[in-house]
Amino acid sequence: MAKFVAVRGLRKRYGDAWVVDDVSFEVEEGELLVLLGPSGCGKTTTLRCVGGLERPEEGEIIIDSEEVTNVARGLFLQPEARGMGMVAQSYAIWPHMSVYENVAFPLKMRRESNSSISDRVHEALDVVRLGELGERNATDLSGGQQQRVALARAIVARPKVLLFDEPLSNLDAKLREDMRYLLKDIQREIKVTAVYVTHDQAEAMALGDELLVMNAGKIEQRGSARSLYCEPTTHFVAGFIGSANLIDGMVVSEESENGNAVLVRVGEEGASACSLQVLSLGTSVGDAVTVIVRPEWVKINQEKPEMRHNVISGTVHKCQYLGDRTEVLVNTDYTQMRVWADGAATFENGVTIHMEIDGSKCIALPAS
Amino acid sequence: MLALGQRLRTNVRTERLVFWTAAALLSFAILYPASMSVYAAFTDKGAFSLGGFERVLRHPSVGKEIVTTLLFAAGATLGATFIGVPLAWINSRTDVPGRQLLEILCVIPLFISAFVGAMAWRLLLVPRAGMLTKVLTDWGWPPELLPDVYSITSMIVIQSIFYSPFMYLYTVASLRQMDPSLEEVARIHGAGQWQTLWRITLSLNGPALLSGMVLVFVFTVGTLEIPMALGVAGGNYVLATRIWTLMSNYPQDLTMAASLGILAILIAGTGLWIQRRILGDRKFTTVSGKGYRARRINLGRWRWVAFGTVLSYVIIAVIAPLLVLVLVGLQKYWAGAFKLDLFTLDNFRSVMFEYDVTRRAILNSLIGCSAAATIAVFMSVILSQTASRRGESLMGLLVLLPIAIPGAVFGMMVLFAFVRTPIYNTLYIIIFAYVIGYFYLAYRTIHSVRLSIHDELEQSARIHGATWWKSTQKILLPLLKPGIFSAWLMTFVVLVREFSSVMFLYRNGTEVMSVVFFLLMERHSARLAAFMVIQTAILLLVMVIFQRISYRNSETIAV
Repeated sequence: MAKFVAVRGLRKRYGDAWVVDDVSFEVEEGELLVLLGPSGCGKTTTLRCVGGLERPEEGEIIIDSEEVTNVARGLFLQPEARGMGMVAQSYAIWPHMSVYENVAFPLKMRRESNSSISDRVHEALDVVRLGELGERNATDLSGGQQQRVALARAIVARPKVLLFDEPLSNLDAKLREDMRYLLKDIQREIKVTAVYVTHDQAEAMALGDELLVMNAGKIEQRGSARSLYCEPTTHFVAGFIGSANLIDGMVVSEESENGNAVLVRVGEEGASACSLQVLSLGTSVGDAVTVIVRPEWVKINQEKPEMRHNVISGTVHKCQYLGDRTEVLVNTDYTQMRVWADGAATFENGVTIHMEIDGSKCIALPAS
Repeated sequence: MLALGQRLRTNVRTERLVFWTAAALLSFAILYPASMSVYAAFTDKGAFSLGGFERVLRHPSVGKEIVTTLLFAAGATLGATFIGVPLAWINSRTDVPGRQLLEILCVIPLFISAFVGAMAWRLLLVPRAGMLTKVLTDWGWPPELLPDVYSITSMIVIQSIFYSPFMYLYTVASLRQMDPSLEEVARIHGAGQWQTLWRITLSLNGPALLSGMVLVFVFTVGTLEIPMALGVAGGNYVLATRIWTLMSNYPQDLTMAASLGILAILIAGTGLWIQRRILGDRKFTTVSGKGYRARRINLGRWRWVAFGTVLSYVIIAVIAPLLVLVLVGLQKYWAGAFKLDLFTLDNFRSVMFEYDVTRRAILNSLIGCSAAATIAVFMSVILSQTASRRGESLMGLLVLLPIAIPGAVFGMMVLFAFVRTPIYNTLYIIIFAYVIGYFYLAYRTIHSVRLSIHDELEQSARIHGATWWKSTQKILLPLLKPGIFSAWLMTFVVLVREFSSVMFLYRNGTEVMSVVFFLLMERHSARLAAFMVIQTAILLLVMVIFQRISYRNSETIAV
């Protein structure tokens, strides 16, 4: 079955810089795909290319088995001919129109009859829980309400694809969380295919069926929120999604009885070295690797545990109470590590502690 | 603690004192001339009389002149809009080739006096002897199909051309402040390029465009430039020219002139009233604080059409007029075409160094306009500093009041106010009119810069022990400096151009450059052309300085 949205070999240049460099992905019908990455990674430009607001230098875009962009064949469909909806970062509510007129605009452009426009506008306003605000002036609304008007406008004409360009970044933190759930509910309710751009990883993980992490114009990794967090395939993804300690080492043996586990030596051979038994993603004996250790995959002990592997010792550099947990910065022989302990725990600065690493979670990636 | 509290109270007192003194002076300077001319309209030789209005009603041609005024002002407003708005859109929103140069060229007409433009087009199109007329008739163009340069249509067209930069600047500023995603979202939701332009871009910027239109309308009601340069010769009198004739021809009829002045203010006020009616209290806040780098519209083949449109405007408004003036200025006398054996530099030499009136006028203009610009800027700084919290609306109203008064009427008012005082017949009365008439220009620029400077900067100076005066001096003035420069230059340029009000105020010895245009108008076209070239050169020089400074400012602000 052909995918509903397909982007192939997309490249876009600003001046001399390729801001989108050979990006390909597909979105299934009714799925919400999140493009996630730091600012300037090309995610917004990719979205704008899908919407027809930018002309790519190379590549093709197919929506609902219709080609909308094919640079090789010189095909470029104007944005108004692509049948999309969009929610922009600044909401982009037209201040010279009422709420009703804003939402009715896409239908007017499709020359629908007045009675069907009225029905569908009210239906869309109900969907975004703004039923009674139709005749209000758009600019009298609060930020969260304007955002919902923008959403109603984007869905009212039943677009093939809904584009979200960092729609929540102008809202304050509390409202942002509420809107996140509302957005997800509505997208499920109307079963629309959506592409969602954000730099906020919590937002991305909460919303996306699938996430696509981008960096420097290229795709780093695609997967579910869980797989990106637990099985990052690149250093960038490991560092960008959640926090991670990156520990350099070398694979000294493969432990076949434990599935794909490997034994990694950290530090110079000798007394100061320690060994970590962790999961491996395509590494073999003798490879330089980086071990990804999430702060919560560590257990802090006062006494050195009786284990051959997976213990790193160090001294407490700083200890920070964060309510639900205590964050401890630990100086070790190899690197400074950030680990999380129970909220009730406290450690004196300078005290020696022993960290037990959960080898069934940590991953060894080829060193960059 | 006590000492600090006391000091802050004293500070507040100085601040209030300075503000109210300045505000009182300004209100007096505006309200006194206004009330004197109302008084003049309702009295005859010191006694209450409605004779002035009666003579207006009985006058054989004033009725027709009112119609002409309305036609002229409404026509020029529409014309300036149809020229200025498309130019602004092309230059700021499309990928027209060479737009950086075009952007500069489109603003140049602002620095050319409309009187100069009108005289240049007169030289080009005058029946039989006009430069363009000759060329066209030589090519077999039938003379009866040539535009009549003295007609009301020509007046409207030329007024439109030289006032379109106002519409241009208003539109460009408004477009720059607009969030481009407002347009993009419309495209995504099914509106084509032209539908988006009409339903979103133009509708959204409507209020800004309307303010620009009202400004052009009021200017046109009160202008003497085109009506003097083209209207009088063609027999097309407007209210401004009628008022001027009543004031300067013997026997004077001051009462009737003052009554007509009130009529002109009513017409101008109608424009402002219509604006209020349409807008109500609607203000489309499309600004979110940041400057937008709007994506330009890809015009495809139409780029060259757009380029040609802008270029033909530049040719009509800048290149052709300046070229013909230079050519005419370089001739011993003007014979309708440039002849090499009549080439001479004498005109330029004589208007600069020999001919008394022109030499004096250059000096008077430079001195008078510099002095007035300095005073206007100085007062603007004081008022914007003190008015930033208090009396904002009062000041806003007072400062804007002169905009609603047509230029020629304003000149007449100042004359009424000072006719029996020692400053009558001196350069001071002209400086006074300059300052009050154009104070708002300096005030607006400086006030907007002032608003962009956070109060906290000043408050922290105060917390750290600076008095109000000290913090103004050490914190505010340095930050305002770029604003002060551009306000000064802008005011200076407009004052050098100013024609309509000084026509009532000059006397033998206090002529400024624009007045001399009028004095030389029917006498020596070659010398007049040379003199106009000199004035335009001065203004363009100031423009270059202005652009350099505002360019540098935009850099410092970005940092």
